[in-house]
Formats: sequence, structure tokens, C-alpha cells
Amino acid sequence: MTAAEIADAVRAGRVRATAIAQAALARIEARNPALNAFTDVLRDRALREAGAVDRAVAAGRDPGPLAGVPYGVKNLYDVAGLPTRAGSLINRDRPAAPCDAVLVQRMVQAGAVLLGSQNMDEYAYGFTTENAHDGTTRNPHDEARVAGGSSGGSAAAVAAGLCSFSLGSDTNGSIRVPASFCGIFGLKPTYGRLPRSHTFPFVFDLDHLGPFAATATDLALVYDALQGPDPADPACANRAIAPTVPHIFSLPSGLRIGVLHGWFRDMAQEEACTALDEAAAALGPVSAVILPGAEQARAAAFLITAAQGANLHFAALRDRAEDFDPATRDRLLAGALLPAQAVQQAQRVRRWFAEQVAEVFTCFDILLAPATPCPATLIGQQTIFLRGIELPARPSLGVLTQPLSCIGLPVVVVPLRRPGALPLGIQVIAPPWQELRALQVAAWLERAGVAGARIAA
Amino acid sequence: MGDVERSARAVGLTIDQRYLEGVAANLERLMAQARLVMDVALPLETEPAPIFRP
Repeated sequence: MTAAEIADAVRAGRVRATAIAQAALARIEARNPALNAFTDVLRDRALREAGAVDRAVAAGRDPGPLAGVPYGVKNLYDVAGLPTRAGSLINRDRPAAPCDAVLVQRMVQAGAVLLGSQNMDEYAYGFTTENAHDGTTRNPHDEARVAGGSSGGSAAAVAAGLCSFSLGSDTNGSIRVPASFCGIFGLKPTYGRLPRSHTFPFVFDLDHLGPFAATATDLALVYDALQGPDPADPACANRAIAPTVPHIFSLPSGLRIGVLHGWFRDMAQEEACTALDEAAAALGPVSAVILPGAEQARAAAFLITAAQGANLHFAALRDRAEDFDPATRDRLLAGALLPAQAVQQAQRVRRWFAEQVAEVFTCFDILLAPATPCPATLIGQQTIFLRGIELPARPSLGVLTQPLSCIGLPVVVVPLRRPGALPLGIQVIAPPWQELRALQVAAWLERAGVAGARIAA
Repeated sequence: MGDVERSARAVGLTIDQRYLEGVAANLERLMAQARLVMDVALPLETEPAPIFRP
């Protein structure tokens, strides 16, 4: 059942939320030992929340738009009573979170049922969810492969049918890469759309939160319940909720669609380019577009990430470097040594790139690009080949996502139907604040049979 | 003392010998990216975007 179907059935009293929660907990118990998607399973909380939904239905009260829908959150979201580990060993010494993250509070209001917290790369610095402390999350479609990262546990949980949706975070591609590798939908909204209050940060200038789901409608349903400003996050824009569900199947005709070439093609393997072209062809006439400065924007995001990540963790890097995951430690230590000149220039390059892209959006309504250069890599794989050059896998899987989050654009990752092949997703990129348009294209591709999530049996 | 150790001292870090090689490799990768942004000829009017508001 999709999230929308569960909510409908629970609201109508045809199914009890408690039964849904129990089934999800049983599936986690059966599958999580192999997949390692959840790091904390909150059985008592899930059953308590489900019970509250059932009582609301029985009493004739509105149980919310996500009544009884089971979900999980990346373990950088505060969950009352748990230390927010953010994939690290170091954070486990911190006191338990006194309250839920604001987005989790909104899910409680909407009637959703929290099943637990999910695995990630340490401090969100990676694209594979190979975590030295909590182990590797395996891809439900091929357990020899990674789920992508850094929100790998969140994507794998949806792709394995352990929960109906998950909440993740995306600084450089950490929602979009795992959505592509696991074959599900993911939304990275416009920077500043969703509040990050009471989540563990990585890079203040680039951190976004967003959902994963198994259908475009579910993605929109969750996104609508997440929206709304919050003054506790200084970067969160003061914008009214803009509902998307009522309009998701009303794709405007005559959309001007561009397929990104240049960097976005050069840095993708042929398989990813072919898959994108086939999907784009279904949308009608499309034009090839170059985003000038994409490579430089990716570099800017790379530098700002290293510098701000290092600054955030400086005390621990100085006092207890041995407690970091080796995969993140050396990257963060190097970030602490970057010259200010490079970081300041990177911040100005962002502005310059945003201006270039704004120009492009005067001629196009939607841009398309592969989400990842290739399908899921093997666990332990150290390198990938792009443009014939062997590159380190861990930082390079985000080469196509990084230039876009660098300037905060909203992006929906749409999983393409590829029977017999590993999952791959494309990025549907909209102008700032136009999440609806990207969701409409995602829903259209799904209805046309070009796209669809793959949920492991 | 190598460049990495000197740079680390300047910001108050002492990097364990075991990590030096990995840190140097990562710093080299970062500096390659830094060269890409430094090569962009920006107009003087281009402001930084520390908090990006689309």
C-alpha cells in the first residue's frame, strides 16, 4: 500500500494504524539485520503513536493527512529521548534530545507513525553509507552494493518496503544519490523551504531536509505536511505553505524542457545518459542546455563543505580525532587547513553561478540531468571511472548533484523503470520555489510508465 | 616539518603521524578544486552568498 492508500484506509476506519505499525515492525525485524537501514527501532513509540491515531479515528476526530503512515528519519534528526548520533561515535556522548526535530513534530501532527532512526555516513560526509561505527547499509536490490548516501538508511528502508516514507538530508546530494541508487522518489526542496530546527548540521549554507517516498503523490503528500516557516532556523524562508497535492496531476502544457549537457553529460557514464534521454523523449521536444560554470559551482560546494564541516567539528578534530570514521576524519582535517581566500572565492562563485542559472531559467521551465553518474557501486569499491579518469568513489558520486544544491535549486529525483537493470534516477530541476513544477513532471513520468519506484519483495 | 603540519599548527591542530598522508591527499584534492574557483574572473560587484536566498 502507498502512503496515500494507508492514510485513506486508516482515516476511513477500514484499517487500524496499530495493525499497520505492527506489520512494519515485523518487516523491519525480518529484513533489517541484512540491510542495516535502521540504527534505532522505536517499537514503543510507534505503537503509542499508532494507538493515538486509532483513538482519534474512533472518536471521530481528524487524525491528520498521514494518519497511520509508518516512516523513519535519518539519525541526524532529533528524536526525543535518543542521542542524535548523526552517524558518529562522538555524538553518542551528548545528552538525549529533549524534543523532536520540528519536521518530526509536524509528522506527529499529521498522524504519521515514527518507526525509528536510520543509518548514514558519519556527519553526512559521504555518498555511500559505509559507516565505520554502525556498519554499511546494503542496497535492497543488490545486497553486494551500497544504498548511496549519506541518507542511505532512509532510502534503503523505503526501497525495501520497511516504511512508507523517510526523511533525509541533502547538503551535496545526500537525498538524490541514494534515491537514484535505491530506485525511489526523493525531493530536495529549495534551500530555506523546510526548517532544519533540531537536526544535527553539517554545512549551514548548504544543508537541506527532504523526503523519500515510493510514488510522486506520496512524496507530495509528505512534503505538504512538512512545509511552513520556523523562526528557529535562521535560513528558513518566511513563506506560506504552498500545497502541491491538489495540483500534482495538472502538468501545464507547453513546458520548455532542457536536458543538461556539458558537465552533466561529461561526468555521467553512458548508461546514465541513455536512460535520461529515453525518459526525456517521453516528455516531448527537449533542447540541450549548458549551465555555464557547473564545474566551478561543484568546486565551490566542495570547498565550502570541507571548510564549514571542519569548523563545525574543530574541537573534536583537535581533541579526539581517533574517534572519527577514518573516511571522514582525513577529509575534515584537510578542510581545516584550507586558505580563507579559496573559501571566500567559493562563496562569490556561488552567487555568480546562481546568476548564470537564473538566465537559463528565463528560457526553460524545467531542466533534466542524471542524478548519479552510474548505478549503485559495490560495497568497498574505492574508485569510479568518469571521462576515462579513475576518481575516488566516495566524493565523486555527487558530481551531478553538487552544482545544483550549491545554489539551492529544488530537485525531484525520479526513478526510471529499468526492468532487469540496476535502479537509476534522473534529476528534475525547477527554478527556486517551484517544487510543484518538478513534482508535476515526476507524476507525469510515473503515469506515463517511464518512471516508477522499485520496492524489493 | 611538512607543509601540512605547518598549516595545522597555524590553526592550532596537531595531526597524528598516522593521518598525515591521508590529510595531505585530501588537501591536494581540495586545492585542485580551489584552483578551479580561483580561475573564475569575478566582477568586483559579485557579492558572496553565505546564506543563499533564491
